[in-house]
Amino acid sequence: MKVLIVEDHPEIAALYTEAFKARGWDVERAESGAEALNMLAESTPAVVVLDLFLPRGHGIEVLSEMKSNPQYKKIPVIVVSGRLSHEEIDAAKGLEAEVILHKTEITPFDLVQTAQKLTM
Amino acid sequence: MRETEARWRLEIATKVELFYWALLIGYVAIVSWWPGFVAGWDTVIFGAVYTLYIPVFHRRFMSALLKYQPHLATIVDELMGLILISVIIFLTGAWTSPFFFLYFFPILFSTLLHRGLGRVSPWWVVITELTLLGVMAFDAAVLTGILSNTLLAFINIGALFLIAGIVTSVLYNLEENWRAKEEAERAQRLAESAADKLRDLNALKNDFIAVATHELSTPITIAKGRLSMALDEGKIKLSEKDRHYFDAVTTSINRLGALVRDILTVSRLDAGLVRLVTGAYPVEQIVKMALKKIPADVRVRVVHEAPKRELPKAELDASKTTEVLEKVIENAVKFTAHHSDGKRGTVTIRYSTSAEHILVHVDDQGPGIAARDRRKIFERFSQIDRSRWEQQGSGLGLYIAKEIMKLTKGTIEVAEYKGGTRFTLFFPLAEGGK
Repeated sequence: MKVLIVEDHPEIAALYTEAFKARGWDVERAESGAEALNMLAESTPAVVVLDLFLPRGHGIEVLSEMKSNPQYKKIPVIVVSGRLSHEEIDAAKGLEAEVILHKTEITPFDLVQTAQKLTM
Repeated sequence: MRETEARWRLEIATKVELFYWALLIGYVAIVSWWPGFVAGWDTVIFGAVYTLYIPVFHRRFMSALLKYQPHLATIVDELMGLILISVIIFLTGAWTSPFFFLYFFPILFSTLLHRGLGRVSPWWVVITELTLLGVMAFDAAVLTGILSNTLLAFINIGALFLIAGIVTSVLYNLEENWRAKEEAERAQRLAESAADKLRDLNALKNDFIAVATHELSTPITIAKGRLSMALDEGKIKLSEKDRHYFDAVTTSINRLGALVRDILTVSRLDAGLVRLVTGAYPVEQIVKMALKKIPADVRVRVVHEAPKRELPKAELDASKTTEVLEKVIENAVKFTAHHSDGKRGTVTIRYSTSAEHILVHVDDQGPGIAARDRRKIFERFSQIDRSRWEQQGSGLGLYIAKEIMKLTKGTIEVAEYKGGTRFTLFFPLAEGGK
């Protein structure tokens, strides 16, 4: 199982990476929206963990690109943001993100568990 | 402002004078037919010319003078008045009157009037009145001198008093209206600029909150993540006491996280940025979705009583209503747990309907809320029992719940229920019912 973690903050990216690896996942990391789309084109992950506020391409744009492309449409996306207001929630919901979470409400292992449920 | 006001006052002064002269000339014209009247048509013509001169030329001349030589304007005005009145006196022969000294009153009062008008002073009305009285006294003097007929003079003085009273009150009202209008405009300008400032400040505040909550969530996420991973992976061996300490740290971090999320929500609600995506939904489904998100607590059993018969659909925003229910149920669980005293408490969710609403009741076995505090719990950071809410939660949960319910045209109420508390959420029925 492979997860693509799109997160620009190194410490948080490291946290999620460790948690996924500890549960036996392969992890790929992207630090920007543009990088995430490039990586998706190269290999298909089982789940995408997507932050919203990213340099070079907002998370919503990545989500929109993924959900409108038949190739990536079925990849479940977990939106994890530190600034998740109702506007962002509505936007992510509208684009059919599978799960939308605020960073502070979950632990890294909660995130892995959520990813596991989505890929079952 | 100062100049506009001075101009306006000059205009009023001119009107007062115009009135006075019109009155005098008209008066002279009428009494010209009176037997023994010594003044001829020259007086009448002079008066008429002067009367026309005031509105047509005098005002313009004085306005121009006021603009370039404001101090000179008053002096010139007075001098002209003095000269003109003197001409009248000479033409009518009033200087032979024993009451000639009264002539000085209108001059004095007129000067005072102009000075008064030059300033922002409410007493100018009194001066106007006095001036008119002076003018009348002068008229009386003229008439007595010319006609030696005091009776006629007094009759006419009565009429002049009446007219003077009316004119004064009209002028007074004009002044009042003008002042009121000016003040209303100024107040409006002030209010508008204050509102603009507030709007800017509010936007700034909301931006700040959005950025601040984002920045705050990073360290919270890291602290929470690292702590949970360390404890989860058993890296740290904990004694009972240490476990207690770490639980306190976890609770505090969780509370901080909840606070950050709720503050962001409140700022969005305050800024009117929360948009609704409403539709017809079965409330029961929404409750089930909310229940999935409630963290299990061994001290509390959550009972979801199925409705006795199928419920009609309600008009609501599914995601935001789930959040509302989550907050209300979480609140019920929290207080039931704290009040359990070792026994397992119960939170029960029940349904009922009214003509226009579907009601969801969330009943807890918590300590209950005193009647006087029930309204307060929906306020931000309500502190009905500080120690209680400080343990967990942000103090904003019920405020958010109330605000979102209000947005979706529903309501939330609180009441006592078997020693505990009952929260009732009213959801409006969707159009078309089922």
